[in-house]
Amino acid sequence: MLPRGSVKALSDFVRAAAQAERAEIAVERALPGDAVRAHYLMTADISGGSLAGRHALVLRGQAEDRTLASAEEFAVRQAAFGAGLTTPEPLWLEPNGDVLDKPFMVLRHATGTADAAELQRDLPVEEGDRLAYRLGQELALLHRIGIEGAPAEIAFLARPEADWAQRRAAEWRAALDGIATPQPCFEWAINWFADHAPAIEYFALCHRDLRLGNVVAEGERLAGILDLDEAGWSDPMEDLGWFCARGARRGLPEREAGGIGSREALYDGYKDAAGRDVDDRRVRFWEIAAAIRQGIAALQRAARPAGDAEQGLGAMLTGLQSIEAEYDLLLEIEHFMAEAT
Amino acid sequence: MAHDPLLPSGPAALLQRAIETLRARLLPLAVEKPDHDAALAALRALAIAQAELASDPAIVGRELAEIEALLGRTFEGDAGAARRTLAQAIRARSLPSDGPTDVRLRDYLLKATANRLRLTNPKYMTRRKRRAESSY
Repeated sequence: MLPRGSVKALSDFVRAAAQAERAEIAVERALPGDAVRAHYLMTADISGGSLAGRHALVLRGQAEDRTLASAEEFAVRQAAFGAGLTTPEPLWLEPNGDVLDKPFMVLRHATGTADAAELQRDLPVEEGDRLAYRLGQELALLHRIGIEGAPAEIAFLARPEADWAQRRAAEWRAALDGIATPQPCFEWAINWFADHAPAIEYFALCHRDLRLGNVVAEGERLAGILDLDEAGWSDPMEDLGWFCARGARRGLPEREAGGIGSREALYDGYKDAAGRDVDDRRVRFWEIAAAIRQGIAALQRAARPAGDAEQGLGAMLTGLQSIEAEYDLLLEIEHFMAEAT
Repeated sequence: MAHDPLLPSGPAALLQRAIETLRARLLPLAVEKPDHDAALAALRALAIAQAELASDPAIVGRELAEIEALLGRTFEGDAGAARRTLAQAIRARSLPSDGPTDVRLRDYLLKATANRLRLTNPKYMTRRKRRAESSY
């Protein structure tokens, strides 16, 4: 929990940011699922100004190992929220670490559960399909933000180069250089990725980490899409591939859309909102890319120093999941190539 | 150098008894979700260590022979060096890019991955084969 002095500083920050006469913050609890940053649910009692009243808010601190820093993620969230994405409204940013020891943002709280296991357990097939359909619609909405004519606040996002696939392959190879054990399977899959990456005609703003765990829902009702700190310009089909990747389905691989609904429901939602068909083959390509990315991330997690024995055990077991990603890669690349002949 | 095990049944059997005891006596007491998850993770780790201890040492020799055939050189029994050299050769694209080599390489990778997956998550392969997913 935040120390008492920090809560007072936070109240002062909210009062100033909300242009209120008075603001009192009560930190309710730490939010689960994110061990690498401060992440708290809090109640704000605000007097005066346009936000007078009681609000459930989330304080989201900066994590060190993500693509986007807090200020960048905040800008992406503003652009996405402005485009109509169902995501908690971003309210205020503290970019300098002057109030707490690190930068943070304050968001409205989305009511529901982000517990992937709970969502999977409680959603019957039909409701899961309806949630997958909604998520397809949401991705189509996000992907309307194209690289050309993008909002000024996200102009900082790196524009992909013509050799984007080679660059991504080079990043993965550099990551493997930091792993102590040789990884011939990932090396082979990275070569395959670089050799088979499609040309991208339309670069859209992509979430790049949409999966259960980053979705808040109450039953089939979508309450919010979370965590845009991996966002960037990419092929829109990458988001669908990431969501459908086998490693994202957790214990329900037969529910091919994120372990929650059918692939068809996700595609239908996307198609209905985007007004164009989903390119299934391209989604399958990105599922293979997702397995490479997930597998390397698992190896990296195992290689990082752990805080205590329990965290160390968790990191080791996560590292071993890279073997499942390898197995997926080998079978899925074989299938992908067989489909082409 | 191999040595006689401390117990006739060997270290894998010792771990098996520890797993069974923890599962019967400790797991039911871990009621809160974080405790239960931590206990399950520890049991899973013990099971993986047990499987690794009990694995057939000949598998490493067979994998080494396959890498030596792919690379056309010997590694004097050093399987780690062989895997490292293979990874470097793949990255450098220095293996012959003919059809038979590609097939042998892919077969090796699949076998080696399956061998490790049998130790860490033996159900994974059977679940993949059994479930009716749309294409795979």
